[in-house]
Amino acid sequence: MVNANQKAPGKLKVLIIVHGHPEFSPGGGEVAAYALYQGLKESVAVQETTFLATNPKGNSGRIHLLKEGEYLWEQRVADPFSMKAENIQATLKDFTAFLKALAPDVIHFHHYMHVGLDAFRVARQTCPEARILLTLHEMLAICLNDGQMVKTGSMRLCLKAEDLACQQCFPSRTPEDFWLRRRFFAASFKYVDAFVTPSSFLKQRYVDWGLDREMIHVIENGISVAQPLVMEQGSNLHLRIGFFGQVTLYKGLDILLEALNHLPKKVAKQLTVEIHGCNLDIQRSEFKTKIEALMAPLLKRGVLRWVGQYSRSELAGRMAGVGWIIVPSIWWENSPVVIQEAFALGRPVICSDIGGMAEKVHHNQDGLHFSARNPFALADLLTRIVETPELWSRLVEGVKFEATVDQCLKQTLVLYAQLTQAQSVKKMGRVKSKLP
Amino acid sequence: MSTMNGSQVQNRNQIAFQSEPKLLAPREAIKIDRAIVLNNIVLISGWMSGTVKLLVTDAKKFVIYERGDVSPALFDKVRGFLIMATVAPDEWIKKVTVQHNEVAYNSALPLTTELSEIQLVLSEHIPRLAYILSEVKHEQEWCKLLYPFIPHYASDQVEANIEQSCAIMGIGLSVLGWCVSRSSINLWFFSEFGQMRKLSDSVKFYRQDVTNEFSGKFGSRCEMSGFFCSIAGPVTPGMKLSVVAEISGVLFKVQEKVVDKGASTALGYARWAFNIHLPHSGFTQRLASHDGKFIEEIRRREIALEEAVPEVWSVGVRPATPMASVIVPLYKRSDFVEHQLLSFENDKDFYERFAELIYVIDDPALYDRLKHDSNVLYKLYGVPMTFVFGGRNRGFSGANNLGASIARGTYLFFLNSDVFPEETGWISRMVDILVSQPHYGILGARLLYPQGAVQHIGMEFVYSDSLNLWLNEHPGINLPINRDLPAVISVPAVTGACMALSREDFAQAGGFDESYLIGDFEDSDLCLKIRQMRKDIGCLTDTRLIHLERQSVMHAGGDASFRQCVTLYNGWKHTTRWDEQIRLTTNG
Repeated sequence: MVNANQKAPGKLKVLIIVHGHPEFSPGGGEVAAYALYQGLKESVAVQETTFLATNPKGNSGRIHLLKEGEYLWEQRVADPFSMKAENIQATLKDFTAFLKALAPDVIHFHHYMHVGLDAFRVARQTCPEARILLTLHEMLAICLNDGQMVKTGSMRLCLKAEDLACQQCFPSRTPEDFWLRRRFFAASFKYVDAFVTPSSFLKQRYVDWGLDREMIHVIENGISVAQPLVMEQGSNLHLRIGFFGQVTLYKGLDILLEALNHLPKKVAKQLTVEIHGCNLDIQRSEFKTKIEALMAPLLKRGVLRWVGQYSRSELAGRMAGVGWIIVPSIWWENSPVVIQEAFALGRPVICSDIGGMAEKVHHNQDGLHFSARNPFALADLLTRIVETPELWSRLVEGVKFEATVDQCLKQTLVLYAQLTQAQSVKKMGRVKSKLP
Repeated sequence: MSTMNGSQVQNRNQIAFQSEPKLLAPREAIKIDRAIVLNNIVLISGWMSGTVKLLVTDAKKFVIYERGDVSPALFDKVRGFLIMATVAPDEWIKKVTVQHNEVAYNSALPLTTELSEIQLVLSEHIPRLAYILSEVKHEQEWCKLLYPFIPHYASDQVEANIEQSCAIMGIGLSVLGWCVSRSSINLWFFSEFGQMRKLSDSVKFYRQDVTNEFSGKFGSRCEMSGFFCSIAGPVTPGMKLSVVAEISGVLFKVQEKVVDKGASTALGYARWAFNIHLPHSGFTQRLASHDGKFIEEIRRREIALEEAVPEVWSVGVRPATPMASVIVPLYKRSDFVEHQLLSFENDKDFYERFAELIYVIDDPALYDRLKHDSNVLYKLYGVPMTFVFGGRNRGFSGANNLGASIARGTYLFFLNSDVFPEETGWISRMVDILVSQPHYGILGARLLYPQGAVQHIGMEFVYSDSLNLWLNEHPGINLPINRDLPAVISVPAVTGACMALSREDFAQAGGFDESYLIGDFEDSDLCLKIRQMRKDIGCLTDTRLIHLERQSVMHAGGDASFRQCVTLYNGWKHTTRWDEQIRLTTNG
């Protein structure tokens, strides 16, 4: 280890800023950022790495040490429309003091949620020489509907944010409100030197929205998993399908269940589908009722098994019990972690043919696509799987796992190096480092 | 009723006033009961019998009527009489003359002004109140005394309902309802304070509900039975107001209501009055003959109220001698400040202290938030700002005038909070033009919609025949940008969303006129004042200032129809004031 107080020449001090700590909020973005942080800590190119995660339980604005190198910041964004932190005073005072103390060369934000958009401006004002990166894990800047790019009400897929169309999704706002929102996001993003997205799909959405294509770098989230499993043999894995993740309106579990209900009896009899899902109990009651009604006959016939929620340490074991992982989401998905987890365990993936899913899963190579939101298409696909036993073995051969933490780390360090070695940062806006 | 002229009769005999009847022959007598005067209107009443004839020397008219209270056992052919006349104080009737058998008799008249006596007379003449009313020519004090004696009566000739009423203390009242009658009879609004107005003066409008309910009885007369009417005069809430009808010479109250308390602000009154859905085509006529003057009067009072000393504070160091002061009133939305700062933070004009930024908090609801946020906004954006809070909402003119009153710049820029420049240096550029081309009194700027179409590139006056108003129109609005225009063009007027002029000219013109409501026409009003000072109005054609037109206002009222009415009101005021000047401008 290098002495933290003395900067080795050419070595970087990196600050990772995340919207949540995976110990309290184990979402895909938080987990990926934490994996990157741990990788950077071990890297010889980096002198010092610090992890700062917001803790949206309160808005006192205090930053305190959680454990060595890891800090929690009690800050939050309550209003995703303005995306401003509740405690701006703390952003100006506590966050500024924190940045000054660390004096990082690289400030790498993951997400702007809870940190608030003003943090980019303040980071630039406080550390005018630092390179600022932002990993975009989602589309909240583009779409107020939880960043889903799915229309409110009709639930139709949305291709591009337009002031008038956005207003139609949110009738209490005006088109001009959306114009102002986009303008504020864009003004805040001007302080970012480079963007990272985990998928080309997400990159394209941000390019369509107005970011400079040259400034967005695609680096897949690194997944740390156990060693790929030795394939279990003779347990009909090719007829066992697993659904993993939260059961929300957008995850398409209802599409899967409808497809199973449409299956010919002799096909259905051979299949086993396991649901490793959580949070059904907190969904809206009409959705819950729908899911329960669709599940009831399937559970009775033994096609479906409701296994329930799992912890991260249980994931590998659970995935080992099935041959396919299914991702039937009705929204785009940016880069679902579950796909990389499946690949890490050598499992092919069945998924909707849109967005980040279609990008990450290659049809007929390491998985199968079906027409998104179409339960009949999925039923046909499941029939094909049952009737073509050799299909599974062929696709298993095609599965490659590349989204390792090492890979992500390597690409990220290359990007850091490019940015820090460049003669000048593309500076947008006037930077005021001295305020009276 | 008959009239006589008694000037040729000789006066020889005196009759005692108000004593016993004067017996002139058996069963023939004359008696004068009462003689009163109020505001130069004289009323004399009494009776006569037999062949006694009434000769009135000074008064022109009198009325004769059956009198049942005098004993028919003692007198023949008893007839009451009621004489009324309007005379100057020095020409008061001194006597009444009667004639009997070619002999004239006089009665000296000790006219009384005693209130109780007047009330007594009126109570005796309830069937003749219509005659009295016409003779007093609706004189208010008489009407006020008359009012309580008008009986309530449910006639099958007329139906009316006063549905809403609104009294503005000391100014007048407005009333809304419907009235339908079988034939064309005299109908009035009649207040207990004696204010009157003919119901036929009302703005009439279609009432489906009345038609449904009463067409069986009144036929098609129901259709336009809706009325809206304003009655000027010193009124108070809680006073009574009636619809009074005259049928066969008799007055009666068709309906009586207590008048509600109206708003005490011009805008508050307008909110009530403009929400009454009258056809817009007759709107200016309605303003001219009904409540337009009320609103002006309330507004005058508001402006005359003594002002509290405004609170002023600055964040950052306020420029001591800026060339320009940019004045931005804030209403309903405080978030626009931050969105504007996104434009200003990189503008040299601000950070090199060429211009000072003044936000006028024109909405008490925003005060706390801005008081709290102003320092944070300065820390984030580094643009020094001065805030001024005048304690209440003043509207476009009042807010801008307040801002101007504390401004230090040689040039004043009035900028709406929903204008977001997409360029820097536009302030110094406009000042340069004002300095180098001094024939321009006011300069405006090209404003664009967010999507890039033109929102404003000068205003012109266009006469609306349907509204009888001059309207301010934006030529080229919603059209693509025209790049062939010279950098500055002369225009009839420019929008107040962004205008610049010297502080000297602004002061000489008396600032923005504050008698308009909310915000329309004050900008063209100022332009016309500057034109009167023989200066031109110019507009830059290449600026890129995004204007989210009407966003703040839509949030204010919500009701588009109300806003339209306010615009019509302001337009009516503007046209009344500037018609001649605009015609000169337009022809020139």
